[in-house]
Amino acid sequence: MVFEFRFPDIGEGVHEGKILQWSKKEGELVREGDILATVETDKVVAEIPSPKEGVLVKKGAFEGQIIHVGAIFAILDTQNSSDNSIEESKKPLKEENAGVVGELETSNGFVMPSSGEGILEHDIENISLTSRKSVLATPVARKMASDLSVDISKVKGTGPSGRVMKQDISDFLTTSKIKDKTDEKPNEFTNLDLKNREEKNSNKTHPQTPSLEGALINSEKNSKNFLTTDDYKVEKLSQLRKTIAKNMTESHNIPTALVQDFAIIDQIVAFRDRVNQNRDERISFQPIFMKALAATLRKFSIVNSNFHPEKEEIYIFSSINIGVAVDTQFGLMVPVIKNVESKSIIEINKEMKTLVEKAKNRTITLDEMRGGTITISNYGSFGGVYGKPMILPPQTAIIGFGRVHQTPVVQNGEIVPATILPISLPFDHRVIDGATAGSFLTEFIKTLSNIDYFLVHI
Amino acid sequence: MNYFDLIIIGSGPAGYVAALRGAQKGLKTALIEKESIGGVCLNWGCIPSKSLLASAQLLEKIKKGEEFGLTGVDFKEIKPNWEKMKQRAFKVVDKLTKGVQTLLKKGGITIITGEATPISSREIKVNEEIYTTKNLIIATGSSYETPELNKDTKIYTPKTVYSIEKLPEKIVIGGAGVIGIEFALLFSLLGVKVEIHEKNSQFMEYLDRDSHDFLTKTLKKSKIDLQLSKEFTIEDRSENTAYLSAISRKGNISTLNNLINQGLTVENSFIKTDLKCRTTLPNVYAIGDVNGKIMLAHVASTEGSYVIDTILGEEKDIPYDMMPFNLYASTEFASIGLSEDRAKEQGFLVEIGKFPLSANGKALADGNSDGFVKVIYEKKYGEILGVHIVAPNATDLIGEASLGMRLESTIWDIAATVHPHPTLIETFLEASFKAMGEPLHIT
Repeated sequence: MVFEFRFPDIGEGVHEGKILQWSKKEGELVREGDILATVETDKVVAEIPSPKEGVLVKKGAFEGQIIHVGAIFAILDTQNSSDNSIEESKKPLKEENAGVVGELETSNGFVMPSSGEGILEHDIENISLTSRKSVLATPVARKMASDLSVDISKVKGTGPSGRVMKQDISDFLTTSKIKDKTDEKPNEFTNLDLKNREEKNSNKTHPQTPSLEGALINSEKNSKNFLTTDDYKVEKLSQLRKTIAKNMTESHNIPTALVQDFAIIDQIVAFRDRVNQNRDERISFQPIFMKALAATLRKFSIVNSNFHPEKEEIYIFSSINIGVAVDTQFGLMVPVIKNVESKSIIEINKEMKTLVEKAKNRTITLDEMRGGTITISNYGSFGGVYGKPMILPPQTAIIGFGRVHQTPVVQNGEIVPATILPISLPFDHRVIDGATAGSFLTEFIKTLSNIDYFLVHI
Repeated sequence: MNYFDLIIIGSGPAGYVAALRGAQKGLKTALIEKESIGGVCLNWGCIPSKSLLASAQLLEKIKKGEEFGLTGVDFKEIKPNWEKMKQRAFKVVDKLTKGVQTLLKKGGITIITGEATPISSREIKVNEEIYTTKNLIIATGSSYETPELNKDTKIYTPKTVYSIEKLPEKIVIGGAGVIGIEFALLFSLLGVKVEIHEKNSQFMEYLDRDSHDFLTKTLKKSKIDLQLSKEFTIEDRSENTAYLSAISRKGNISTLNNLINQGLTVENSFIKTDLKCRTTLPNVYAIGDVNGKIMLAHVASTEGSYVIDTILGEEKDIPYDMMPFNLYASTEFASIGLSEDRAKEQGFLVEIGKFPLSANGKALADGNSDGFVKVIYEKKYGEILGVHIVAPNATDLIGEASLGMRLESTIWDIAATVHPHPTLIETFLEASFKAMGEPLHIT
């Protein structure tokens, strides 16, 4: 009886492995548990034992070749017979069909049991188990998982007590399909397999179990059943979205600490109202905040910096170039207002309006978005009091402004209403120490809270 | 304080279950009822009608006394006493509703008596008092309309049928739905001549065709005159003829005008809800008959229980496709899942197994071997798609199929399950064997 041994899912999101070395030759007798080959994945180096005794009829891949989870790894003749026809058992799957290929040693010595439910056995009756991992799942879900080469232990169950239901299997497949489709690397196995799945689906052999029409019923049926392409759409990442994703992932690698506080800005509000009284072009808060930021940065120049860890160098800037996060229909863009320290509030106001406009209609140039030394995210204009914006590398800090709102505060022992500006300061802790960040924020708040102080320092 | 996490309007099987679950999970809960705790099901529906049916079934059995080897009385002389049957039925009702009241009290639920008029989704007026709530569940149920056919003739509804004083010689029933058919079979057992007027050319077409055939034969055997394509009409004004209208039910929404003005969507008198019983207003839910989805008590209480999880953030879809359907009579009808025709229509590769009760030892011993069990499964994974049972206690037997389908069991799981002997439920096992092509006790 011929047994197709498929490359098992060894967990940790590993989808493929490289055959380093075969331990057995074709034609050689293999005992259950004998190591067939050593396989390297991006996470582990694993010795793959044979789940059965038999003659190794054919290797699924050469040494050095990549093999995908679910692809045929080796074909064994389990009865040493000359009959090479692959038999398919017509019997129902057993409740515990967790065929397992022993334990795999990871490269860091951590021992991880393989779940093995990814193996598709044609002769499940005869497989002997070296260890078992039980998953709560319905019989139909088990059969489906086995049929579609899904590792059931990876599927999150939504049934009673977390039981894996058939819907969970199809949801799991849908999700991995989207993942596969958006994956840039060609993935022969999964694509082929998905084709099979789609064919199976189009046969409509297994729609959602539906309802008896019940008495008097106008039940909205949950028509969401098996994979149909109506269930989701796949969106290719735009170049801008790719850049955002790359920057944010890079940002995530920064050891970021966070400090938050608020400034009482009633004086700034009054100041702006006075200024705007006789003006056609109104000045928004942002340029005022930017001037206060520039004044503060002059005293804490380390915050106005870029960090290049690979060179082990910090670039500390004398000019203050503030990036402003702008939400556009294409995604997030960050135009930069340069030399804020030497520009007037009116100039900044004007320049900012132009740049935001350009960003929104995508006429902005690359130069206008380069050279930032720090960035402001004004997320509060969309909602949110305190947030944690992501630092734009190689910068070392970002200022987040929350929603400006009125709130009761205690001043001189009395509760009074005040207009406050919530401020978040995520900073790169490799470059800026907590004490520095705290002092910087305190000075920034002082500049924003007291109009006289503001005027003499900007 | 009149401030609650949850107010429920209506204490039927939807509302009181929601109240118990809500309180159990820590919500400060109030339940408003204008009439009787337990709603139609407990007071004028499922429970008293099944009590009457029990009397009728006993009568039917006693009539077979001689056949079963009993002697000493003239079994043919035994007659139903309608008044005493009703008294017994309402004793049962009394016991159950008191039980529910005790549960509600012990659950710490505030019971408010009176008609509730929501002012908004947060404020509910009852007897000029305003109650405030974070979440509102509407469980006001449904009512049968009484058609105005003739002013002189009293027309009963399934709710008021208990006020019939004397067992009539003949009863004319409007509507051949489940309830119309149940009352027809009940009155027939009690020796009343029964006529049914059904305006459609078909009746209960959602039943599996084998069950439907069986029901049609049962009606014939019981000499029930089912007239299809006929509007409910009064033809005979004799005192000895009663009229019962079981035609159309409407959602009880007469006090909800404020909510409707604020955006609560109502379609054909039923409140529109999604699979989680959410209405078009935030924090307002509709459960039970008033959402018009499936007007059965077990659907209502399932909704009542699940909706609390949804309110508490653990959102759950109601499994509307896994609701058992029951018809109570001397020989009962029960089913779950798809009928044979529907399963084929939906493109399943279908296998069917049917096993007659006449080949079941227990059924023969009991002296009632009318009926069958029919199992429908799909070939690919062996999943059970539908089970249809006609048997004396079919409504109890369907429980195993309900569990089986809930757990997505395959036909092989049923076949591998040991069923006790001698029992009627063995027929489920036998039908599964048959469906697999490996029958044991039939050929």
